[in-house]
Amino acid sequence: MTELRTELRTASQRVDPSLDAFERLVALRRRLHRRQRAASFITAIVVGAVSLAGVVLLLSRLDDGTSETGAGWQPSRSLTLEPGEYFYLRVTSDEAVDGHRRAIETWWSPDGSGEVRNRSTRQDKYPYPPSGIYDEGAFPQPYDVSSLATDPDALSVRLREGTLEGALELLFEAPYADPELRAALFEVVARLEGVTVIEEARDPAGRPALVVETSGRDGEDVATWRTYFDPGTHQPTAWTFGSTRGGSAWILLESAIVAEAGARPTADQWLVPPVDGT
Amino acid sequence: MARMDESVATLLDPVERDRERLAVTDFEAFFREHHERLFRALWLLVHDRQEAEEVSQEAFLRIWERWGRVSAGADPVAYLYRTSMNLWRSRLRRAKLAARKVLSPQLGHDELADVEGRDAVVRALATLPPRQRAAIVLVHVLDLTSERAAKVLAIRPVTVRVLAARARATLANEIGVNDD
Repeated sequence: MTELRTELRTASQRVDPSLDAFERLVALRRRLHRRQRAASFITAIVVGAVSLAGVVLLLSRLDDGTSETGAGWQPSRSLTLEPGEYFYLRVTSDEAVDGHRRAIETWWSPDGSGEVRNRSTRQDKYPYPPSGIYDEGAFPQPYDVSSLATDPDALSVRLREGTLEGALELLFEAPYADPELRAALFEVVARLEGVTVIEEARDPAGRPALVVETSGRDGEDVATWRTYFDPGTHQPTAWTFGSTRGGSAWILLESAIVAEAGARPTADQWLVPPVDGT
Repeated sequence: MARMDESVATLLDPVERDRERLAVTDFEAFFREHHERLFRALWLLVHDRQEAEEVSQEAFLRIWERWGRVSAGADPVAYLYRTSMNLWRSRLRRAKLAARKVLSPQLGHDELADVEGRDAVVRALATLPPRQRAAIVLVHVLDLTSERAAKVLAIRPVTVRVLAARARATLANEIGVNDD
């Protein structure tokens, strides 16, 4: 047996593993996480109804010499969310990323009350946010961002890897930050290289849009994220993802301010053009 | 969502970030300690460098994704081997082509073909049924006891001993070495 054991061990020594095996494993893990993030990114946006109001702050900044707003949606009401009112968001996504369609409506009030109607096609995989009516302070808020600094310089130091991807990720993974923090997050994003503003564009539903475009490496490929904003109200209307590797995904956003949870917006309550035109 | 919660928590909490760094260091040490042996053992099983590397990488990746739980477990090394064996067996089941390649005494024509061609034990090993091959590699190359090998293969220790004994007998006969 000793002789056989020696033969086997000698044979196993005839090949050597790659010297960069660990580095390759790290790269493999990063690719895996990027793929996971592509799906979770969408879910995070779906969950992140509240963060969308902060986008106004970003576009206000970008307006300072970096872009001009065109003639966009002219809502019948102000963008201010008054006490007792609810921010309404309808989110629909395609099936490109994971084969499942998301269709979620949320009504959120600053007091933390609201309602969620989640009709995503695969509830076992995307049960969040759970459908239901939420009392004050009970609206699902999965992220505790209370310890994040609001100073952009301090914040940027804490951003993972200091990359654009990290900043964007945090931006969408921390949807329930207060306005000051969201402003800081957007400022960090806007400071980073690679952010491009495209004017006079159209979102995937054909609505007029300003586009904030970012690109990043995805292994050997390049991934591009675009967030579309209504030129008039600076509310986000869509988000798309594409990669030179192939594959793409889109999300449509329709926002409004309504008087009560569960109420569908009337024509004068929309903050962006509704997709179906009603 | 749990994954995103964790990633945000890591961003927010310096203690969590330090823990993650320590975990990475910890895992890297584990990887560097066990990767080479696992790769060599897998190469004996699959007979193909690329496939051995793929199985090895996938096994370590799965371990890394569960490192907190695995490292706190009783036997991370056995978990690694078991994951590797499961991946290998899954590949065997999934791909008839791969199965033919592994089970056939015909060797692959990669850069190792010359080496393999000179190595009688490698050729003989390739003729063994997969379970025998796994048993003998675990016991005689990776030095697992039959009890640990049994856990890795999810079979009884006595079965491991029987499989290894049959494999030894076949190999000894094929290559003319002592099986005492």
